[in-house]
Amino acid sequence: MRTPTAEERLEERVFRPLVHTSLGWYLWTAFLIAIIAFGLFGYTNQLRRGLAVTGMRDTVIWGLYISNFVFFSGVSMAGTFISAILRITGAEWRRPLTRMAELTTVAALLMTALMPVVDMGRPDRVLYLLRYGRLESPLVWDIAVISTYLTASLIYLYLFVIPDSAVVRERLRGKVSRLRQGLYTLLALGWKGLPEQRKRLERSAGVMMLLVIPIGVATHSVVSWIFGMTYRAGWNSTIFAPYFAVGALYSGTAMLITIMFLMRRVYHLEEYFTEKHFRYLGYMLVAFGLLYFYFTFAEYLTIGYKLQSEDKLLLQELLFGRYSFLVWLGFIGGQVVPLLLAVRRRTQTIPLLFVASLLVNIGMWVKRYVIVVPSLANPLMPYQWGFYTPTWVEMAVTAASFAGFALVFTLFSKLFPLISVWEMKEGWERAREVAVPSQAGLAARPARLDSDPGGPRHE
Amino acid sequence: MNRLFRSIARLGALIAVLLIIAGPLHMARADSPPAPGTGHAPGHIKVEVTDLGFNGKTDGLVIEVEQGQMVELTFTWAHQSYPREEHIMVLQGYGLETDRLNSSNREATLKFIADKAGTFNFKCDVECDVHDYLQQGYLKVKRSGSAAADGSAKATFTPTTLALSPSAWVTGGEAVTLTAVLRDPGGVSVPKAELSFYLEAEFGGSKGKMWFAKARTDANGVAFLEYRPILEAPKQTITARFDGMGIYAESEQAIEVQVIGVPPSAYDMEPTGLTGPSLGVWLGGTPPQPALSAWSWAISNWGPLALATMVLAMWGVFGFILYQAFRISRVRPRR
Repeated sequence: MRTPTAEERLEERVFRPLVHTSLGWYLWTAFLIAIIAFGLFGYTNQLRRGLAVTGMRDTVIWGLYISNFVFFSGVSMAGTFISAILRITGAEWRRPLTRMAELTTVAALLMTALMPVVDMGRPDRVLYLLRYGRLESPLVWDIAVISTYLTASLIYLYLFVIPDSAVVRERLRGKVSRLRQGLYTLLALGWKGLPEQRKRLERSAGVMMLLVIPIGVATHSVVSWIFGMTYRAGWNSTIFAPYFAVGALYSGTAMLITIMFLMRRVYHLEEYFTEKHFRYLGYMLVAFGLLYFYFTFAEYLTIGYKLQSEDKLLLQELLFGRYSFLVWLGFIGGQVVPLLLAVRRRTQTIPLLFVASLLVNIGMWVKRYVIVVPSLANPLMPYQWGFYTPTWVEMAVTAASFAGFALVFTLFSKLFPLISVWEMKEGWERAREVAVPSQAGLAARPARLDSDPGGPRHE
Repeated sequence: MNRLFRSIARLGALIAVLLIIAGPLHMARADSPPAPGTGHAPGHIKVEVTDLGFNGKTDGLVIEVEQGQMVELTFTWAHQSYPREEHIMVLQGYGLETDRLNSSNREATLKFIADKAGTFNFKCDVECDVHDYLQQGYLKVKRSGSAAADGSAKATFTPTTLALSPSAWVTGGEAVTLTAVLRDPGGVSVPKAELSFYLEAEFGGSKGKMWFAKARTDANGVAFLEYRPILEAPKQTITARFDGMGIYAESEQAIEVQVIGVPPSAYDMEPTGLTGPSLGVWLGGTPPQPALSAWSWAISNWGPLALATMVLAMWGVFGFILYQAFRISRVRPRR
């Protein structure tokens, strides 16, 4: 009996979820939909009774929704950004994880775009920003960059789905419904792998790679400027843009590790998401984490050294007052412990890196909350502290946003391969050319490619 | 003998009953505040301003009147130990005040119709450590029905007329002095009357009268107000209103102002942004020139324009990329 080739194994592995649906998938999807439905119930409650059902009041005007907004926008940074950087630098090990990274960006940006609408109270008022918004306002910049980044990320994701759609259409002919077959045909754009088609695709993808990097940086800079352009203690900072961008890369990398770990387990992608991928992402996590630590240190040192009266009040509450638990949880749980786990050779195992990534995710969400709420609660006059406690409505909507984020992956995994088959094959072809440059006409693949498709040849 | 004894006993009981009833009545009468118009015609109340307070009561004099009753509250300067003491008495809630009371002007009267029920404080309005807390009194206006308690008809307010001039004028934004004259039907001027001035305006989508100034009539019943139009509306309606006071009924008068041209700004704005040396380029601010050419507008708004251009350019590239992608379907194999 013939041993299946690496390509065949890959196709078998990544196409399987597209045709076989387990009971677990249905249960998981139903669970996510139930959470989203509960969130929608909370949201309709908010629509009917107004923002008074939230914990937000005249002093603390932003709460969980804007914390989620900043968190998801941060998560969105790493996906497309990492994918583009790795593609540009020609890092071969990127190939199995680019699809997942790009999808992370799209899913996170969808939730990012949703949060301000929920926070506004009345969704129809989004139109006011378009009709009456002033170009001088960071809020208008925010709409511009987030919509631009979402569009860029969708195009970027789609470009690499084109060849895969053609493959899926061919391989799954007769195994999926006509509707899906039609969808693949439509998305494939008549892809046949012709040199001219590859050239066009690579040229378009090349432009998009160059574009998404500045767009990503711009998005996180603008998100930071929503805060940084104000005089509020804790927000009035010149380093907020790079601080946010680095924080976004840190949390985005962590989210990518988390998602890769879960998808690896659920869809048995161990052969493609190897320890090497996790270790490399772990190195990136350490690099971004150290940078983030440096920015945090610089930010608090300059504030703490000058210690203006409003900053003093805020720092006191952050470090030793009522927000101190969250601050130290975010710092120790979200920075110190994960970095220790990711930096040591002994703890660079896949499960421990997953734990580290989870801690970073939690820590960075807490950090976002700590950026948003205490600065608003900090009194402009020294006697009036604001108070904020999230209500069940905000918690339900928050839970729904995370469920929505997960649902995007769940549904995508039923429609498209979670690993870019086209890119993987391209990588193997290149490796073949490198391995046997002078043996034209021989059986193309080196033997070791079959045994270890995620092995050293991707490096 | 027995009948005589019974008659005497009945007479004694009757006297005892009368004494029981009359005693408290007498005591109650002695404790009550001076009734309105004691020693005067009904509604005439005399208050002596003494060293120890109104009518010598250090804890505050209380006067009761019926709602709708005409009241004349006369204050008489009657100090013994403080010959240089001066007062201006005010009745809060009714917006009334007397002329200055002193040793040479010993009497002043507040004449009004007590149309508002409730308790109102009357006191000296001149700041002084000693008499601030001594010269205190309370007017209790008891709520009544359509007629006064004694069955007499309620007092009626004296109508007034308010004349505002000039009745109409054309202005390019210069200030104009408005003159308001308040008189009763007999032509007698109404002094110390507070007049409010309103402008027909629109704010947040709702139209209405916007209050913008107050003026008080002098001894001749004349009030002056200097007005400079700042709204950019060609026709403006100004209304002067007297809300009624004392015995006088409310009245109002409106005039129309025609404004030609753009009125000058009511305040000077501090210019924002930065200017480049010798370029006159404004960064982040609005230049002060009233009329801008397209070029100067573009220079002064370079920031937002650059942003808009960048975003549009980006979306243009997206469109081009998608166009390139869709052209993939048109590629045919080469022979």
